[in-house]
Amino acid sequence: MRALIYEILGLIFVASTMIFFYQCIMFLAEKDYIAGFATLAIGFIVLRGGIEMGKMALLLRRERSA
Amino acid sequence: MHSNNLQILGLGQSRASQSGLWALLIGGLGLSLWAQVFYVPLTDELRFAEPSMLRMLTYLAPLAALLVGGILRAGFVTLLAFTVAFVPGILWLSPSALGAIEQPWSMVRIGVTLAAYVATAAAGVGPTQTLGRRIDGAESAVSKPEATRRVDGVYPFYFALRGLLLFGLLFVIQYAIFRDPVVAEKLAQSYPTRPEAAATFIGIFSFFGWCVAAYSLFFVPLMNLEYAARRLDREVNATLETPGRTRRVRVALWGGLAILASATGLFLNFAI
Repeated sequence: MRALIYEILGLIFVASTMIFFYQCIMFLAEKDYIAGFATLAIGFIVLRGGIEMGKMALLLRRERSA
Repeated sequence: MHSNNLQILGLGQSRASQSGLWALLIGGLGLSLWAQVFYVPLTDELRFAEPSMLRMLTYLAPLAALLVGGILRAGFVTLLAFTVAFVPGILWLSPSALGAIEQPWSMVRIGVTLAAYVATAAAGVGPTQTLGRRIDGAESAVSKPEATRRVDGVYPFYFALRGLLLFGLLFVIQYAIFRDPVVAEKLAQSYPTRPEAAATFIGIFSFFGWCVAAYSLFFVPLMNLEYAARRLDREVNATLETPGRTRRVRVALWGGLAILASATGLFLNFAI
């Protein structure tokens, strides 16, 4: 169950990165470079968080099957 | 013993030849990328009666970063410093030079070369690990057999699903820049004289950002999963062995830092 929660959360995080990248492009298109870079940095952090959660899910699943 | 030495010698020679090939590829791709952007502006500058030394130095800056990164084999220099070194020169390009690289095929060529460069640079800067094998490629007497645990069963699905999302991200970025009417309208308002050029540069910047994210936040953590599992084990054991008081102080410090960051954000939100 915990593995599934981590899996779903990880996928949501990775998928939600698209919103941050899209928002970053919107800011850059408005010449708001600082906001654009900040949003991109947030997107990177969220993507990394999603990958880490996915790893946790995978490790939990492996522990269960071992 | 003799055969062991021969094996070690063979491994060393193989690594040396791989390193040479990597340096050759990086040099070729980096030079190609530089030439596509700065070769014509540099030759134009040299034709002037009084060429600007500063402008020429900004055009040549990526080559210096490429040389240093290739020799030191430092990921920071080859991946980040080299690409960032293009920015001052691009900002200083004349309108005619900008017009030349704004052509669709020129952009495609630069994009493909950049992607190949990032992939090659990323592949060569650090030791990689295949699943179930140690990073240095040799079995150590210290490592226990049970320390290497396999995730082969669920791994392909896990990797493919996230890979699909990552390429979806690239699609969203490219769609937003070149097809989305809202972004197009904002570009036309913000850059009334050259909206296509602005879209092009945002496209290159976003593509570079995507490449960095794909490499450092996706492929490296996932390709080194076994290593990550061992590190996680070590961290969990270290945390369990830490005295309770130290653990509480650490949690309080991180919590305090998080509260401080949130408060600063709120303050800035109201103050600005």
